[in-house]
Amino acid sequence: MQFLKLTLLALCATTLAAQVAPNPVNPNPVTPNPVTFDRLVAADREPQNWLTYSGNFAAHQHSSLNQINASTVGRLQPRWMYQMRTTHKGESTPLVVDGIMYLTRSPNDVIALDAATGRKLWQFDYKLPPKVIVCCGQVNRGLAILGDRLFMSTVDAYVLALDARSGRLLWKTRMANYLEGYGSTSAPIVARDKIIVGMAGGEYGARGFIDAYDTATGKLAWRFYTTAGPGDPNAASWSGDSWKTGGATTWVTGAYDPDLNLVYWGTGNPGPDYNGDVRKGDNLYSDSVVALDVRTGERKWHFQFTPHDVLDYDATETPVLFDAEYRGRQRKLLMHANRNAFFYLLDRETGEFLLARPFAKQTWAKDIDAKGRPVRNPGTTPTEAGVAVWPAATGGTNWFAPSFSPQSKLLYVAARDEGEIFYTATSPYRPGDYFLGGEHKPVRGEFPTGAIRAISPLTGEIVWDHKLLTPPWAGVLSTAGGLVFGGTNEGNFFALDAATGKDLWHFQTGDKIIANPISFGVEGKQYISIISGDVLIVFGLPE
Amino acid sequence: MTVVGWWRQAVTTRRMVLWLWAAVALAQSPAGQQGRQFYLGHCAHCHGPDGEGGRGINLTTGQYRLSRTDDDLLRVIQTGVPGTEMPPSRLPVADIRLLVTWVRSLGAAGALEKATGDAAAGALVYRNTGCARCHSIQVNGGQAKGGSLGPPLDSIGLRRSLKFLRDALVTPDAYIAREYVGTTAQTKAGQLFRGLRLNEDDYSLQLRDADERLHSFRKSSLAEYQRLDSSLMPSYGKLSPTDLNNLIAYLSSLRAANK
Repeated sequence: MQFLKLTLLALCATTLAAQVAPNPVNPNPVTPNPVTFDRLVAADREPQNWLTYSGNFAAHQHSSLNQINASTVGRLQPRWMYQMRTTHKGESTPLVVDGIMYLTRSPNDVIALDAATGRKLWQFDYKLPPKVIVCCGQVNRGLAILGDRLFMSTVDAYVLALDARSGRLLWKTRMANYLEGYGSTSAPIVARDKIIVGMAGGEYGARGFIDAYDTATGKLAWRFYTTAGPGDPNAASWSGDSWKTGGATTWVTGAYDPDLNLVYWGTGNPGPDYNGDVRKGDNLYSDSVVALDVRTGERKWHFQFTPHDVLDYDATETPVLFDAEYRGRQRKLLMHANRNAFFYLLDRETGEFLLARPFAKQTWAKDIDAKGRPVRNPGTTPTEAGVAVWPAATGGTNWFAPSFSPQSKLLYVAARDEGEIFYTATSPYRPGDYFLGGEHKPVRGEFPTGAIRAISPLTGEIVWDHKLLTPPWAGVLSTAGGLVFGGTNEGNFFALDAATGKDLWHFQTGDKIIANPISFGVEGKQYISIISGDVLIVFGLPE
Repeated sequence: MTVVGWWRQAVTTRRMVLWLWAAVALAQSPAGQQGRQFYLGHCAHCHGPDGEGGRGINLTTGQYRLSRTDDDLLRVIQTGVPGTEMPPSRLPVADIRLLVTWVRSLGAAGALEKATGDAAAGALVYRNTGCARCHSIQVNGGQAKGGSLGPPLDSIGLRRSLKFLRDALVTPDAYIAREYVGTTAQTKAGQLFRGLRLNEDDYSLQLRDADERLHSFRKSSLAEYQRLDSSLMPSYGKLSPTDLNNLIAYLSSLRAANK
């Protein structure tokens, strides 16, 4: 039923999209209408807008606009650019609401731009304390919106609400102590009257959690800890007190099913990353997806992809939701292209494992058994002398977005074929200091490669494979124009044929692309945007 | 030698011996051994198990251009060296201090490493063998002389151990630095180009040929292009043992500190 609904919505959206209708309610692009929760649920009905981090709650990262398509994409050209002037990495996915683009600039500034011209409307500058601890750059990956409020979490572990009309700070709530390595880099999700927020700090022995805050007041509604401590039925999956510093952080945005009122969130690797001797057991709920009841934060189910991980295979990649008939029965499904290089299909009502199949080069698992548990290959546990394992710690894919097209019914994934040598070392826990238990280094002489791969979700089969020179760090966007957009480390922003993977268009942006593309429309014109380096580039067809 | 000269030399030698003794003693202590563990796990991959160098610089010379003091060394390990393959370390500070101790002991061990050849004779071998066709050396702050197909050699003696230099001359294919990988490109018209791969993306390839001419190709215009597994530098194993030793001594003597 849900699938039918989504299909119908997609069809409606496609029809609408044919003209990229200007916002019928409010033609003045500098005064957006409040974004109600109903608008967020039915985001697919507003293809001219990009209302959530992943475009919709199901995390499809898909646009039903089709003005830019296989016949017109060859004429695509930059329409405007915005220079962020930051030395930090540009990994943000903007929101677009009724002609206004809301963009975060790393670490935690927010900028509102006229989406048609790129001219700035307002800017919010966030001051960070001097000693912020984050493993992989002070970045922010995006915002959430509800009503006329924008929500952002910060690298020094606060959650903020801003007035979308002015950028004025409305409330600020502390999540955790940043001096102990806690922080947040991902976009929140709005779920009814709450915002759901993930956190980072897995390299510092942080204890993972997922938080829900009241959108009106900023008050913490609930917290779900992702390492099972005393009282949790899975507490025995950690030896001793290792759950206290066990990581399993939640640093990438999840997905949400408003009908089931469940939020689905991926969790990171257990800490210390490479030395599992000090945390014997499966280490639940690390490297898992957890389904949480939005009302209470209670865990409905969990599925662990990599039990007792020692290779840094976070399962934080965004889960993607869709409905389809599987083995003769209509099911609510969840797809996960995991950092451990396997694609998984789960039942999202129950967490039941349905299938797994590799989508990138891997040597760590011989097989995934009938219950979804990996059968490991011998000699793939890190040692002091080092062992070479595929995929690398950076994974078969990583935080950047996959995309599902309701049209082609394919999942598009930016895949990485790279191995690494994994070493162990002992590193005792010290608050705010690295807690890794080892290290990883490139395999000498290897020139790692990458690809955009189209996966058939009901079989895990790779339908096409578009090779890339090096392992990508950019997400993908599929569109109803039959295109898949992606970016390369060498700066090329490109469009592929969504059915065949054929290269149709590319543009050299001049810097590494480590962001997700999105599409939106203003005044009847479709645009595609991407960040390259610290420059946001918006592409459109010539006038 | 005057008495003063003899005394000075004796004091220097004694200091050196004491310093070596202290470094060796420290290296053998539990803290030193812990530092060794960290070194093997985190550094040996590039700098070699004994600090002899590889992708990373030779650590056995005891002279590091960015690190005069232990605090400098700690900082370099923490932050990495921008623009090079040396990454920042994620080890806790206390562990890096142990690492610094171990690296210092490697430096002390190598302080006695001395080439057996004659550096002045090696300079002639360098000239007569045509090394300067591809490599450059800057002398006394003057203009760098030589080609740019291979790495500049101004500070090669600081960066590479004697063993590494010998291996690189005799079996250059064994290790090719990432920025000196060769490539071939054949156009659809049948023209073949071979040279240093300067840059590449999914759609284009840039190279410098043996005559130092620059080329940029659209991949769609090429019939074939291939990254070379072998070095652009030929083997110099055919040199006489004396010439080879002299050449190594010359290369080892190139220790420009500002490079």
